[in-house]
This record gives sequence, structure tokens and C-alpha cells, in this order.
Amino acid sequence: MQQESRKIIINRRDLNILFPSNAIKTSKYNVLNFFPKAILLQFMRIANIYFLVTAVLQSIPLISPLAPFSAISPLVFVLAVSLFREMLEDYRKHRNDDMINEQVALLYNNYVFQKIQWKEIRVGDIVQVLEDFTIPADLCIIRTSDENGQCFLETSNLDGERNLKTKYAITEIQEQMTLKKFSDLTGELQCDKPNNRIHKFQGMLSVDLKQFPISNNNILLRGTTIKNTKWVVGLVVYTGHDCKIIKNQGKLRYKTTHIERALNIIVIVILILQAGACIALAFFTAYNYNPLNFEGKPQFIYIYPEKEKNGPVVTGVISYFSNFLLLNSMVPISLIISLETLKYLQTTWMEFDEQMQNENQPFRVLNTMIHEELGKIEYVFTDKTGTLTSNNMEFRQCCIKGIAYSDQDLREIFQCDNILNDLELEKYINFFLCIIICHNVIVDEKLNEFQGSSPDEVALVKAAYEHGFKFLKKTNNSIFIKVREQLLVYEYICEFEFSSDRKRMSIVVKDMQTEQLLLFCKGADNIIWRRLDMKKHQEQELRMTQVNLKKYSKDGLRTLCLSYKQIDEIQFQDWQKQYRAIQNEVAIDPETTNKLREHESILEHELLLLGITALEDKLQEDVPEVIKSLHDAGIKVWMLTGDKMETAENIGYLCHLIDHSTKCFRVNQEDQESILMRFKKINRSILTYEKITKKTNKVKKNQQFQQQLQWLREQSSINSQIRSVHKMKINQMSIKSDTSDNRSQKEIKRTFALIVEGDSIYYLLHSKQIQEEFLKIIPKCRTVICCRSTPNQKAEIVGLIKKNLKTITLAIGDGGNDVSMIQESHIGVGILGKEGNQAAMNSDYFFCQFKHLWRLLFVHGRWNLYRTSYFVNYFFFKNILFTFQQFYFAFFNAFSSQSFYEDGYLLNFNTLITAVAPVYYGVFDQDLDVQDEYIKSQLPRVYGEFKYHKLFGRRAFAKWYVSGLLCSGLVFFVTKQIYLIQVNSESGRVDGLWQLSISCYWSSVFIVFMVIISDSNQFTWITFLSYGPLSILAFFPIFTLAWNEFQSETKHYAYDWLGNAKFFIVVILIVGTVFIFKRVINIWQQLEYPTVIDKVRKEKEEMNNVMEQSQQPGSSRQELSDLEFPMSIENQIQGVYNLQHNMGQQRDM
Amino acid sequence: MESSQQQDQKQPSSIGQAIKQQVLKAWQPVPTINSTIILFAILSVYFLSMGIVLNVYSGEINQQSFRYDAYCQGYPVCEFPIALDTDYKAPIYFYYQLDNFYQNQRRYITSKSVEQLSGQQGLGVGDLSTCYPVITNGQMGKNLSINATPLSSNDPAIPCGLIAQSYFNDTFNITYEVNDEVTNVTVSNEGIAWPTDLGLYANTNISQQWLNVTDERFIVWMRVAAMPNFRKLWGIINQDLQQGRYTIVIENNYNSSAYGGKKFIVFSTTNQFGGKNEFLSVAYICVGVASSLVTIAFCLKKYFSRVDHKKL
Repeated sequence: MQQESRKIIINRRDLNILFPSNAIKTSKYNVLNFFPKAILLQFMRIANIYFLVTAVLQSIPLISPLAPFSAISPLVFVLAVSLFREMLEDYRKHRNDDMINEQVALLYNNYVFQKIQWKEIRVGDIVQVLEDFTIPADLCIIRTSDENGQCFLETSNLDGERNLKTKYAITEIQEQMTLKKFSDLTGELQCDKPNNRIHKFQGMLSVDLKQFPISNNNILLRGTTIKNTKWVVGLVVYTGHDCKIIKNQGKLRYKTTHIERALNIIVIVILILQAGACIALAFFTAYNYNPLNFEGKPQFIYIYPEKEKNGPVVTGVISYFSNFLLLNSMVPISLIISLETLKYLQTTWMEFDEQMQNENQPFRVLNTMIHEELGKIEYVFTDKTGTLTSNNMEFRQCCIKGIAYSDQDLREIFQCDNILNDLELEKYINFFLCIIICHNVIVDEKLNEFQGSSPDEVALVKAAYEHGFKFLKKTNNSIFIKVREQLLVYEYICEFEFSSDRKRMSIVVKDMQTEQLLLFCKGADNIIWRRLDMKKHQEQELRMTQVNLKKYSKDGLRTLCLSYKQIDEIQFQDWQKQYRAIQNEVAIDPETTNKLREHESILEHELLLLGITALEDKLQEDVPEVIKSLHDAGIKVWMLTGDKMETAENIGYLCHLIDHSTKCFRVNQEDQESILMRFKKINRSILTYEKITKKTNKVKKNQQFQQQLQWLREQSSINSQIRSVHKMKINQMSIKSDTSDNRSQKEIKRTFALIVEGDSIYYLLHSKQIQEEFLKIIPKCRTVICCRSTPNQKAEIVGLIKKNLKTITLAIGDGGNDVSMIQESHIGVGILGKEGNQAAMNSDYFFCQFKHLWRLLFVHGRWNLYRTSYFVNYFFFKNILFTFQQFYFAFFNAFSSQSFYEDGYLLNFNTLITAVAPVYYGVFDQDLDVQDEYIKSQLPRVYGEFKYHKLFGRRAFAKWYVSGLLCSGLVFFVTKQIYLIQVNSESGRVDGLWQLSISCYWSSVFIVFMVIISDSNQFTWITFLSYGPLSILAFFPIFTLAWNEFQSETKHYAYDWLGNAKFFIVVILIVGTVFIFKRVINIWQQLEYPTVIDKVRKEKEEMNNVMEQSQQPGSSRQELSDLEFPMSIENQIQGVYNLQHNMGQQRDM
Repeated sequence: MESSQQQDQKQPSSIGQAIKQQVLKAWQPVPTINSTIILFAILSVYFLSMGIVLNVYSGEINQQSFRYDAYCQGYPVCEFPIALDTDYKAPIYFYYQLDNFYQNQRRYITSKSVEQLSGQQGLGVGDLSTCYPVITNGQMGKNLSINATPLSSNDPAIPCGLIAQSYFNDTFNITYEVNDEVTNVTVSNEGIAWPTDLGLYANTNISQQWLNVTDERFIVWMRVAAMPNFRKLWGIINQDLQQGRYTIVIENNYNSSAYGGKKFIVFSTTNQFGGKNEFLSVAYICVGVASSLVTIAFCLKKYFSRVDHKKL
């Protein structure tokens, strides 16, 4: 197929043989090629290549100081695990493919429709799809069960929208086919080559020498579902992997985290260090090669009895590789596997969390590698509709002729009978007629429901239905409605669609009762307002309408303006003639669509205002609380919405993005110069505000402190009673938390918000100058609202922040329009909502309620951050501690790269004995008891300060690295000094190399365990299980004994040292020394430089103490009630400060 | 967030559920000044008392070493006079010590055949590659077996390898004079090797061996030392030795000057913790003192913070 387009011969399988079949294949392997292919793929990974190289080097006896199996066994293990995983995954994919490929379709063959499997469908076939079935391949509609050739389609698999879309058969062919048989259909279809553009299709169908243009409206895409239509018959256009839905399946993006990036650098640094060490040792080896001692005699005559064939250079090179193998564990490649295991387990436990789920609606993690990033979020970008709001519209208010009615008012009015005759009530009728005629809602007869693309319309039609204005049916040329039990028919003439540019929708109908042509138009208020015929309205009415409009807007209601107009028949026919001419023109040249729009708008003039509807867009659960917490954690929250400024601002108030203390700056200028000026001005005023607040706060703080001192003195003068002791404690506590944290209640904290509108966003993204100003302002604004932004702008804004501010961003959204934003940000969170699951499927995490973000960030995010950081640091620490002893030993064995540890012990260290404990820590450790109410209230604060406290970076790593070095030096040299004469038992017998090595080995193991135990923040019985029986206790005796039985070299040595008191004395000495150092440093840090976690723990402890004391007899009830803090989320945050506040009140009394 | 939800998770229905929700009952220790003081006090007591005990024990050990390679230089048999400073109580352990001898060199350590040493029969030259570079009798430089049978220079040496080749073969005979009468001190070589090692060695065929591999001194030699300066037990003296002069008749076979090393003999007694080792007790005392200082520092800190508190 070389030409640009594809040519399909209808009904001739033999001529379409070149096109692929309709089977899809996502699996990678089959039974035959599994092993070679899977293994080959495994060795594409850099870690496995490293393993392979090590194993090969280790198998060369000349080079290897170790037994080959200690390198080969990890390789085999890793390969086996990976292959097994691949196998399972691929098996699942095979099953999945089969399930899809073996679905039943109906193929036209020999004058009947036969059942076949999906995979048997070929291009050019004619297939039938029944109602509620999924389309098996991309089809061009030939005939539908509807006489007009319409059919309805649900496309939620494709674009996430639940509403029904209408597709049409080509009218002429539809008519032909009602008479002819499908087998008589001959001809060909010329169309585009397979592509991924869902909304575009261009083709030409030639049947019986006639040509019909085929557009996207005639195409059914694979994966969509037929609704409300009994059957559809279509011509197969694209099959299998050519289908648009498959072409559209995005590839998984690979996101890295800050830890991984830091890790890569560190690994490189260590690799360089390791290479340095190896080169140094190799040099010493070469230098030491058969050297002469001071008496001119060969020093190693007992090792090299004859002249060696390898010269010093060759010896040095060999030594380089030998040392490389010995110091191999300095760069723990096993870290990669362990990290993967860790993250897999973290994922599992995150998904277990019931508090992240809602009545069986799941919380799922799609990207398992970025958990720790959740603990460092600084910017949250959120969608509005469906994310903050529940996308559940309710008709609340309306304004007809300037008078506001609530839903309830209308109900009462309509309870009076026979309104149709009352002239006074005609305005209501027109108002509701507009609602039920001018819309795109479909009645789903089966479910007896209204369905449509716009939730606003559905809510309105539903509300009208409840008030007695029933929309029944819309056919190609008539609209049936029922007003108060009276059936009315309107002839449908034409319709001007809603689009985001036009922001209005109009419909022209003919009242069959009065033969009057009517145009109904509804849309955004500012658009409709411009098109009203001002002369025909009373000023009072317009003014009142504006007043109500503002009021609704302020209450966060969504408003729509309704209007209508009577059209003169003759005028209209003129207009229609021109309209048809333009339509034909457009059919030939799609570029001229604008002309059509212009012509449409001619009719939409001099409208008569009917009224305003106001719909409530309900917020999701706990949205204001979560946003408040996010702000408290210092996270900047951005709302990116396609809505207009007023609505967006309203929602902003509703969900506490903005409150009364926030200074809002609005940017809605439309040219570059004034936007730039505006930003500069904002920047200046922010600076001034900041200065003023700083000053006032200083004064206030001083006053406050003085007051407190004063009060303390008064109290201590009468402190003979227990009561005042309590108060003292409470007060101390509040002072502490007060001084330690400047977010005191009394202090004024000015917050800033920026509201940017559509055009300004465009310049923001395209003008360097404006960008610069903007980037200066945004770190100071805790809220930014971007209105009228397109999906692409959303992503660009996220990208702008991500790139320029180098911070971690999170985007959360629920609809197809958020996908690009979700993919652009560091972390994309999807909400499984009404707008389908497209956002969820493209996200890294998804759940069903915005409120779960709280737990995702403040609980799981922070947990994962500190757990993973510790895990990685600890992993380096233990490997450095262990490996560096090899390096020291080289200086005592004539640089011969003799291993300090016996093979079994060496292999065992990372893979068994010390493997479980850090993984346990990484999955289960909890530094704060998040179930506790007080701690829960402090989590945002902890989160905010936590991220600045660098847990994993160059400094933290250097700290761990140096302590690893010190510990390994301590272990090696102290043990060596103690074992110097090697006589360690009363029997006077002499020990050898392996006793020294085993003693150092166990000292290292115990240090590693001591460190993790003293760093563990909580102990449950599983902690004891995993630190004890599952690691050290199990392998200490079992491994040692079993290994020694198996290995003849050091056979039975275990008995020698296990029965030796000195062994234990030395291990205790070394571990004890390290413990003392570690403890002193830890305590000192906790007392002198407490982290926020230390502070929160202490506050909690003190609060518990006070609680206990006040529960003792003798204390008054009153006091107890003072201590019971109001703990709703809104007040939780203040926790301790409230306490202080209460005390302040008491003092005033 | 909601109180009802709170209630649910505070009482998880089962242990499995508690593990899944990460709400197991847990102990979260928060270190305080008090707990630190107690902890360090305990550590100080342990380290100090242990250090003192070790020091006292170590002080009771007698140990003396004498370098003889320079004195005996050039003599195949030499009489080496020594003087013991104190009385030694039986059992006295008699060691030789080599300096600058790298038994822990990689090529050296691996150069032996575990199979051969365990008495396995019929091992040809090809089976003994681990003994490289000393596999055959020729390479070993031996042509007579222990029972004086001639050995073919192409047959595998039993035992083979560098360790066996460099086996320390000086012998010592300790004598002292009482009233001009020379008395020999019996030095037993029984029980000088580790019982666990004894099981690993067996002779193959005496007439093909140049050395008896079950000799305990050989077994002791084969357990390679950790550091280039090391001691090996040569024998046990099961009688008390008085303070005074002794002569040691040394068969000076082992050429230490060829590689620039030194040879010593060492007399030592032992205690439960082995030979004399000041370092261990000193280390214990140092750590004990450090720990006590920390304890005191924390006590002071606590005291002063309380005083500050009162002043307020």
C-alpha cells in the first residue's frame, strides 16, 4: 500500500487480502519464542547486563576471588523472578486478547447474518451490530434500523463522555438498501490511511458510479456502543491494530522521582569512587609484584617459587577486575531489585487502604514507581467540574421577567390550575418551552431517563418535566412535547449548535398550532445580552434581571440566559435559501465553516429575554477542608477551569480557595502591554502588603509575649493549688508551640490569590516578559485560578511551573480534558467520576472522591517519602559498612584481592540476613500515629515542613556514607587489634583468618540491625517478627550451621566461635560503641534541633499528660471541658492554639 | 475524617484487617532525657565492670616472646638461651611467631586440595589444579616419602600446594639446668589443633606422602592466619616452669631471611578469654568512661533545666 489513501472494495474479501485481520495482539510472546525473546529482553536492562558481566568475571578463576555461584545465583534468581512475572503478565494478556478476539459479531454472508468471531472480520466485510453491542471494528454506516438512517452511540470508551452521539447513514444508500440486498452492494470506498484522529474522517464511497462523501458523522468507531437503535449495518473500514481506538492508546510514560534522580548521581559518584579504589589497589598489587625486600631478596618467595609468566602489568590488570568483584557491593545492584520489591509492597498496602475507598469504589495505583514524590508536592493543579464539584446539577432558581423564583415557588404557582389560559402566565410557558425545545437531550425509553451531552441541559429538561412541561421525542422533523397533559407538536426546521466560541445554541421551529416560526436561543448571559432587542424590554425588568444574575453568580450558581424571537416567514425563507447555498459550499470546502456561523448569527438578533435559569453545581464531600489543609501545608492550589471568571471565583469562595483574608488580583486584560503592566503592579502591591504585615506582626508578637509573661507570673504567685499546676502546664505547652511555630492564631497572615482569564493565559504562555513577571508573583500566591482555559493550556501551565520553578507538581482531574494536564505533571491523579474513566486511565493514581487527596498526600505521601528515603540511605550504609572492610583488608594481605569474607557469608549478607528488615521498615514504619486526632490535625503542618527537611540528597547521603565508613573502620580495626594474637580460648589454640572475618561479619550484621531498630519509630509484633525470626534469628544459627556443613573449607568453624565467650564480648563492644554514638547524636539532635515530627510528638505527649492529670479526682469539670478541643477538620488545624486561645479567654474573665 | 469512620478503623475486625490497614497496636517509644539517663547508666555499668574484669584477668596472664632468627642465623642447630621473668603455671602454651609472612595472600590461601587432605585416594595431577603452582613432587622439591620410599617427580605431591610447601619445620627442645643436670621439658603436640579440624585430615598412602598430614602441627599450620604477623601453637607444656634461665635447642630449618621475615618463640598462659590482650579491656574501659560522661552530661542538663524552670 504505497498510496496516501486506502481503497476498499466492498464485499470482496479476496481483493482486500492485504489489510490486517481484526485480531488484536497485546501479548509479547508465544510458547515457542518465550524463552529466547524474554531472556533477550531481560538483558536489555542495564542492571542485568551488569549482573551478567559480574557473573562472567566471577567464573574466571584467575580473576575471581570468590566462588562463581555467589554472582551467578543472584543473576539466576533475578532472571527467574522476572521471567516468571513476564510469563504471568503475558498469560493474562493472551487471555485478555482471546476474550476480545473471540467476541461474537454478525457477518453478512450468503444473504444472512452469521455469527463469527471478531478476529475473523476482514476489511470490506459487511457486519451487523445490534443494540447495546460494542462495535467490533471501524465501520462506515450503510443502514440503520431507524428509517431516517440515524443511530445513537455511546463513546465513553473513547473520549470519556457518557452522552449519546448521533451518527447517520448516507440517506441515499439507506434508501437503496431498504429495497436491495446487501450482497448486491458493489463499489469501493476510498479513505485515509489508518490514523489516530478520532474526530476526523474523510472518504469517498462510490456505489453504482455515484459518489458519496463520507465524514466522521458516518463512521462508527471500534469500542463504542450502539444505543437506542435496534441495529446498524456497516462496512468494515479499519480492522485490528488499524482501528482508531487502538491507534490512540497512549504509551505508558516513564516518570522518575527525585529520589531516583539523586540515586543515579550517587551511583555514578560511587562507581567513580569504586573505580578509584580498584585502580589504587591494582597499582599496589603491581608494585608489590614479586618485589625485593630490603635485603634484596624476593619477599614472596613462598608464593612465587618460580618466575611468574605474568608481568606486573598483567597482574595489575587482573587485580583490577578482582578488586572490582570484591568491591562490587559498594554499588548495590541488589538495591534496584529491593527498591522494586519495596515499591510493589507499598503499592499493595496503599491499595488495601479502606479509607481511600468509597463504598467499593476502588483506589488504584497505576504507576508504582513514584510514591515518594507524593511527599514533596508543592503545587496542586485541580480541575473544577467533577473534581471539586460533583458535576451533579440541580435546578435551584430562575428569574422570569425580572422576578426571581425558587424551585419551590414555581411548584406552588403551577399548583393553581389551568395556567394555559391565563395570559399572565404565558411568560412561564415560553420560558419552559425554550427549555424543552432548545436542547440536545435524548429520552432513553428503556431507562426512562433524559440523557445528553450537557449536564446543565439534562438538569433543566428534568426540572421542566417536574413542573409539567414534558419533552417527549425529537424526530428528524418534529418535536413532540406535552404541556400540562396537552400534546403539542413543533416542526423542527433547523438548529445552530452550541460551541465554545458561540456559547449559545439556537433552534428554529414552527408551532404547528399557530403556524408561527419561532427561534429559541439560550446561552451565556453576556452573549445573549448583546443580542437582545433592548427596545422591547422594560428597563426595570432588565435591571432586576441583572441584579438577580449577580446574586446567582455570587451564590456559586451556574446561570443560563433564555430568549426567543418570532420570525417572519418570508424573511426566513430568504435566509434559508442563502443558508443552503453556504452549506453546499462548506460541504465542498470545510475551511469556510466560518461563513456558516456568520450567517447563523444573522438570525440570532433582536431576541426577547425570557429569563435566567440558575443551577447549583454541588461541591464534592469535604472539598473546603481538604483545600484548607493543602494551604496549611504550604501547598499552592491552582484551579484550572474552562468556566468563566465569575463562576470560577464563586466556586473558589465556596471551596475556600479564597476567603475574606485573601487579597485577590484579577487579570483579564486582553493585550500584551496592559497584561504586563498589570503583573508589574500586582508584584509591587504584594511587596507592600508583605512589608506592612511583617511590621504589624512584630508588634503584635511582642505584645502577646509580654502578656503571657505577665500572666505566668501572676499564676505562679498563687500556684499552691493543683489547678494552677495544670494551667501552668497547659500554658507552657502553648508557649512552646507558639514560639516554635509562627502560624499563631493572632498573627495576621495575608494571603494572595491570582485570577487569570483566557486571553491573558495565552499571553502568559507566549510572552517571555509576562512569564517572568508571572513567575515572580506566583510563589507568593497560594491560590491561582485560571478561567476559560483549554485542555492544552492546562497542560502548558503545568509545564510552565514544572519547568521554571523546579517544584513537584500534582494535577488532579476527572475528564478527558484533564488528560494532558495529568500526563504533564509529576503526579497525575484521576477521579473516577461521571465523565468516564479516561482521566483515571491516564493517571498515576485514581480514586473516586477529591477528599481522598488528603490521605494520599498527608498520610501515604509523607510515609512513602520518609520510608523510601530511609530505605535507600540505609541500604547504602549497610553496604558501605560491609564492603569497606574488604578494602581495609587489602592492606594486610599484600593487595592480593583475597576476600575478607567467605563466599557464603558474602552472598548471605544482602540477600538473606539484612534483606527483610529494611523492606519491612519501608512498608510499615510509622513515625506518627495518624489515627490520633491531634496528630491528624497537625499532619498538614508536618507535611509542609517535612519537605524542606531533605531526607535524601547529597548531604543526607554523605552523612550516611561517612557513618558507614566510620563504622566499617571501627569494626575492622578494633576486631583486628583484639584478635591480633589469635588466641581466643582457654585451650590456647590459635584461630585463623576466618575467625576474624566471621567476628567482623557478625559485628556488621548486628550494627545494621541495631541501627534499624533504633531508627524504627514504632514496634508491633510484626516488627519483632521481621527483625527477629524472619531475618537475624533465623539465619544466625541456621545459615551458619547449614552453610558450614555444606562448605568444606570452613567446616565446623561455627562450633568453634559459637562456643567462644570472646566472640560475644567483642561483638557487644563494637555494637555498643556504635549504639552509644548513635544515641547521643540522635538525642542531641532531638533536644537541640528538633524536627517538626519531634515537636508534634512532644506536644502530643504533653497533651496526654495534661489529660491524664485533669482526669484525676479533685480537678474541676470545667477544666476538662476546656481541654476538649473542637475537632472538626476546620478547627483541628488550630489544635493547640485553640487551647491557648481558651486559656486566654479564661484569663480575661 | 468522619468520626464514624474513625471508630471503624480503631477496632479492626481481625488481625489480617489490622495489618492491611496498618493500624496494628504499636509501641512508639519517644526518647526522653530520663530514659536516656537510665539507658546510659546501664551501659556505663556494663562496660566499666566488664572492662575491669577483663583487665584483671588479662593481668594474671604471663607471656614472653623471644626472637631467635637473628641469633641462630646460619646454624642448622642452635642453642638459644632465654630467661623467664616469672613462674609459669601449667598448662603453658608454647608458640612460634612469624612476622611478615602473608598466609592470607589470595594465591597462597587457595593453593591446597581439600579432597587430598581429607584422604581421598587416586587423585591425579589433573584433579589437583587448586594446588597450583605446586602440584607435583618435582615442584614441591621432595623425592623421598616419610618412610623413605623414593617419589616420582611427576606424581602428585601429597600434600600439595603452597601452604604445605611452606610448612614451618623448625623444632624446639626446651632444656634447663638444675645443679648442672640438663633436664628436658616435655612439649606435647597433642590437642594443639582444633578438634573440628582433626576430622578434615587423613593420610592417603604413607609411602607416597612426603609429610604426615595428620600431624597436629601441620593441621595448625594449614589453618591460615588472618594477618602477616601471626602466632601458631607449637606445643603445650604440661608442667610448671620456674623463673630462670632455659636453653632452647632449635633445629633451624626454616629460612625466614629468604623473604625478610622474623621468627619468635612465645611462652604464654591463658584464661577464659584466650591469651594476653590489653586492648580489649582498655577498649571496654574507654567506652565505659565515655558512656558515664554522657550520663553525667545528661544529668547536668536535666538539673539545670529544672533550675531554669524554677527561676521562671
